[in-house]
Amino acid sequence: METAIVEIFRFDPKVDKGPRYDTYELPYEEGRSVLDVIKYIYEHYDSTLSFRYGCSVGTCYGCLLKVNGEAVVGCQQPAGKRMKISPLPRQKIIKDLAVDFNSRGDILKKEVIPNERAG
Amino acid sequence: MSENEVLKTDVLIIGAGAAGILAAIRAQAEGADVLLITSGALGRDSSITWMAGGGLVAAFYPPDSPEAHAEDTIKRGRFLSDQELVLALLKQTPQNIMDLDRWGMRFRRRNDGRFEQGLLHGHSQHRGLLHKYDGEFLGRDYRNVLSKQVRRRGLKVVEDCFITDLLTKDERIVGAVGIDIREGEFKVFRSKVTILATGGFPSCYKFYCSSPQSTGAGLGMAYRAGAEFVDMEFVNFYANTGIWPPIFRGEIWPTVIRHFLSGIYLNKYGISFWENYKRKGITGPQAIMQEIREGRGTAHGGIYLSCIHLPENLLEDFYAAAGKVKWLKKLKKVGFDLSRKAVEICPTSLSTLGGCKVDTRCKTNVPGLYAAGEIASGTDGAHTINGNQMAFSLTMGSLAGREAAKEAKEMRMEPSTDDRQVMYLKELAYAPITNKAGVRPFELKSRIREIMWEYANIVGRTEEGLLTAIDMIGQIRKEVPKLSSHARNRRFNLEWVECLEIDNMLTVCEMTIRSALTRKESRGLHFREDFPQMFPEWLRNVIVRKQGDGMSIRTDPVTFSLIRPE
Repeated sequence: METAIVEIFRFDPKVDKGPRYDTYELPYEEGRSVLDVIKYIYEHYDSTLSFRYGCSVGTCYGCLLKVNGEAVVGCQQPAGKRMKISPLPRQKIIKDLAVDFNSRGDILKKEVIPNERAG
Repeated sequence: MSENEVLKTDVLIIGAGAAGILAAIRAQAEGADVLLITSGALGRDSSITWMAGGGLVAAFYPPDSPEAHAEDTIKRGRFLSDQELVLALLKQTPQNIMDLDRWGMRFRRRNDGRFEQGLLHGHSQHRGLLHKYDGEFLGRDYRNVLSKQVRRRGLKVVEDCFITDLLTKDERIVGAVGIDIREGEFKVFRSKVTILATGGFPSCYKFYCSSPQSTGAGLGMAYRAGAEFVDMEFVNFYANTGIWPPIFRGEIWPTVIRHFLSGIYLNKYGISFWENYKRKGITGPQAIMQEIREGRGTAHGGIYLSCIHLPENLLEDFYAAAGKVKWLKKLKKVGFDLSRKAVEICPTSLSTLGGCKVDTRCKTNVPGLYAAGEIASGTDGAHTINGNQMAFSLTMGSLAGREAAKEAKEMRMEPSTDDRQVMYLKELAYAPITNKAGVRPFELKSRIREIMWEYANIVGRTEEGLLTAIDMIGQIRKEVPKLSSHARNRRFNLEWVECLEIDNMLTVCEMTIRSALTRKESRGLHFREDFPQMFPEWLRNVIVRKQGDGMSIRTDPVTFSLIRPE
């Protein structure tokens, strides 16, 4: 079976001295989203992993994060075989991938994802 | 344990979707002090309002009228709706939509300035509002417009707070308690009046196209507080939802393949089965579900929806005409070619029609407690028409907010909470992270979802099956005290929150199953294999409430204040 290697940003500002990346190896399956992979890791390997998600179909933008340096909506982004997943930049980190969207004023005014037509 | 921080307010609103936010805006406008709680980040939480498509209806211009709209609604609901409530709400709907328009919703207008309205299935008049731009969903606009209103009006919001229970003192609701997910701390809210706007419980089913957190948490706590529930047996399913590949799970765009690309349903043998069912008068979702249940579904539990019979250039022309539609972009990104591959789809639970029984002021039977949105019931009856649920959510929120603020204003006394209850609930809330290693929430959740899928689906409900389901739910209930989160950290511990959802899921599922068992007929969205007919003597609502440690059920006749069945 093919495996995927996923590095995930881990940081609890209240406990840890600094951030680190944890590496997880999991079976690779085509057609999974980045959020599917994060949830898989959370349910099967490490449930201390913190992240945000809502609708899971690309409407709420709750799972905005960075994959290999690019800001993406987690549930809409196909997962790759090698991924480095980090929280959305310039936001206050609550824990791991979960950020405080209000930490830099009204986030809705500066939506990271450009306006695009839903369908 | 350390002293708990107590936050005080006049009106406490739990849930920040359309109903919750409208309630907050109206209550504040009435001069009340308001606190709005969401389990996620405002506007990015798991509210299904953000997932709304194009369905929103209101009777704006003659010859249409709220009365005509109410008549359509009641007929579609097979005469189980609370007619007085339906009319009261539909009369106020246009005003609320005008406000949304003023706040920046991009509705489509005609040259004369009126809203352009489409004719939606089940409506006798053109009352479906449209987005200004083709292919845009209203959900995105709700999200922007409503969140901005909350900020602009300086409404106090508590984010990332999972409410676990309501507080009761002298039979009145005096607030709520919950977990601040960010810090893992216990929070106590004291309020004069409380509004539940937490949504329904579609995600109690194996496949759903609502949000994953729609597990019925609000219904569970209202139940424990003594609220009455009505029409719990009716669950609305959406026929064409993607289930495979996983990245398409819960997405509703396959309906475009079905209706605009002459998509055909194929079972695992490649046989198109729809015509056989259609001849017998069976609806789409039921036909697909029947096919799956009889063992002709795909390995992932669905059926294929294919449009590979179309010539490639036809598809290309369709893509070109559709423009930059999000789901087409996604297909491209995933590398899924519709001219070669079929999407696996399945009917999935979209919304739950049952919920707290409310009066024409959105008040529940429990003093101090209001309910609005999908958690409240009485509006749809046995079936719902396109766009009505959004209209009801907005209007109920608005109404509940106003009425709650008025009630709070009239209250002289500051409410006080029962310290013993607070202590008890705190212990319960912390149990999953203090319990010794036990059963994990993921396992119980998937078992519950399987039970509902198997026995309380849109087809295959039988007395025998429903009794089995009650038994199985009871077995799982025994494991609730053993629920334990492997993650022991307090800050942003998602597994802990999932543990706290289980008990509520069991409660709402049992209410649904028992209501379905009680209704010995088939009506609207409730199909009993052993009672396939609709009977006039069942023009009654099934009402569930807590009694001692058990569930009590009664049936009340419907009052026909507006129209009677022929």
